[in-house]
Amino acid sequence: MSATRPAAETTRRDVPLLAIEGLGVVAEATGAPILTDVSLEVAPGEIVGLVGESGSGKSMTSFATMGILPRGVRQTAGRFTVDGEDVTDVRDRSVSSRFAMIFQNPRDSLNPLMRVGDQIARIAALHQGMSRAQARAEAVSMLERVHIPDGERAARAYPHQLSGGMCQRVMIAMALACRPRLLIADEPTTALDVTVQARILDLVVELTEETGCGVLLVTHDLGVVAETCDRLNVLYRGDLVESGPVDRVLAAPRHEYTRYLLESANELEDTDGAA
Amino acid sequence: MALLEVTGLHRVFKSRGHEVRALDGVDVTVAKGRTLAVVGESGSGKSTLGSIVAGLQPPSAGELRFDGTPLDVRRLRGPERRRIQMVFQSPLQSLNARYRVESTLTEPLRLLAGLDRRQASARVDELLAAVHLPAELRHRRPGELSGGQQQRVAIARALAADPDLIVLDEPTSGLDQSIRGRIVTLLRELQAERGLSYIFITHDIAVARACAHEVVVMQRGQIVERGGLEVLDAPQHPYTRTLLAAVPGMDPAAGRRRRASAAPDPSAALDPEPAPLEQDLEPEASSHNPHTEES
Repeated sequence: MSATRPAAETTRRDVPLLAIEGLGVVAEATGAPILTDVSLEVAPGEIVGLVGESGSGKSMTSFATMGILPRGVRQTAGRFTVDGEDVTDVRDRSVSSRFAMIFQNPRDSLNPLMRVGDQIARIAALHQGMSRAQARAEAVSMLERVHIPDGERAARAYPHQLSGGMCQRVMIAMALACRPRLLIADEPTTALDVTVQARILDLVVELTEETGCGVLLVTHDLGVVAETCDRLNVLYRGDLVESGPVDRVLAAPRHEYTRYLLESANELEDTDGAA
Repeated sequence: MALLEVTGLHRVFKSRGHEVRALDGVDVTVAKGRTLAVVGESGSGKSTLGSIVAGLQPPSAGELRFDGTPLDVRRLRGPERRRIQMVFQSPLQSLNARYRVESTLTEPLRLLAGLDRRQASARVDELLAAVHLPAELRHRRPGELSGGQQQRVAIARALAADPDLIVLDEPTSGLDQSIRGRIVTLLRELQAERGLSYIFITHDIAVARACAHEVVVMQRGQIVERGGLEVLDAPQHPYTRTLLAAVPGMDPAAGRRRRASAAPDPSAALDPEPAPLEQDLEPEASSHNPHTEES
């Protein structure tokens, strides 16, 4: 599995799947900057981490990319390209550019009143123009694709009948039903237990390898980045302060803030316990 | 000497016509001035254990002894209500949003520590200093504080009652990693100064390692492993091993190794039982909350 990844590394640099250039976002009421001149790239088959603490602007970057900035927040600068094609206008990167997004609280992102199979089928019908019957079958197959053992049975479940990890698998199945080129995963495992987190991250890596889609993984957890990402971007108060291959950044961080984050993450590992 | 002794604790929720055993025969002891870390995943029963000890819900069966005398958690009053305090995961939800920090802290000082208004007000500065917050913050409301400051206020509120035991239920889970370390340091410092005992409920193994004297690992309402810190360094039970192996470290090669060694279906490989379709053992996370049903 892992052997395929370095090979992708040599080809991926020439054609970025997604390029964000000079993204600027401000709070409308005060004009306070939320993001300043943020540029990053995601290549096909690449998992790119976007890291920072609360308030660093990492979620705003993913919302701006999806074109779902919340009310009261405005994009003031920035250019988006997909496969070299300009999609700065939000309307150009809606359905056709095939971006999908998964969130921190999968249960909150699902419709509580609708069976999960129907929710996935609706997406499949919309994005792939499938008939009802085709879309139903697609939903079951997507559920099995994310390793839910009995897809038929799971498709009939409502979100409240599923555990948090299962809900996140459903969200990923729904994302896959868009046949995404880019998956934005915003703290996808933060609300999950560590054992479930490991499985969901492994699933994301596996699907990236199989489908060749790019992933922008937004997280505050450097451990998650270390284990899954190819490259890493560090945001600090709306500025991109460091980016580079994960191995290099973790081994030899260049920016002071990255060093601080790494020290914080390792801080507890170094204590000897209370005893 | 044991400050708290819990024996044969059971807690059963009736949910959709069947029973869920959130706690299924749990025994723990907490020594004076020591920290018992309770680790486990959602639905393991760790929060239920903490909230029973803090008197927030009754056990279905079992005995609790506090400082040598039987503790009737159904009606905690007098000294026990003061001597056992609790700090929750989300300070913003556990602090009264309309109270200034001052009122949040004077309330337990007056109700539990029996101080009059003037004495209580004088103690507020001391409490803020104890949790390393500037005295000016006494006039702020929770919404005007950072997450780390809010959690310090929540800790100060627990200290206001001058407790012997504090139940800490995921006190660092909603915080940034840099803040997490500082809260852990503060808790250890307060323990050393005041001889406090902690029940430290956490899913974060690094936090448990940094705080614990004793560790219990819970799964499905039962304690599957217990001991000193060696439980986290050399786990014996398969579940503890699975739990520890899943914690992401700072080593990029570790993830690749895990995936390379995992069986084709990672969900089947990591879970001793098939992934449940219905996870009923999740009273905390479920929107259908059995706690509220019973109370």
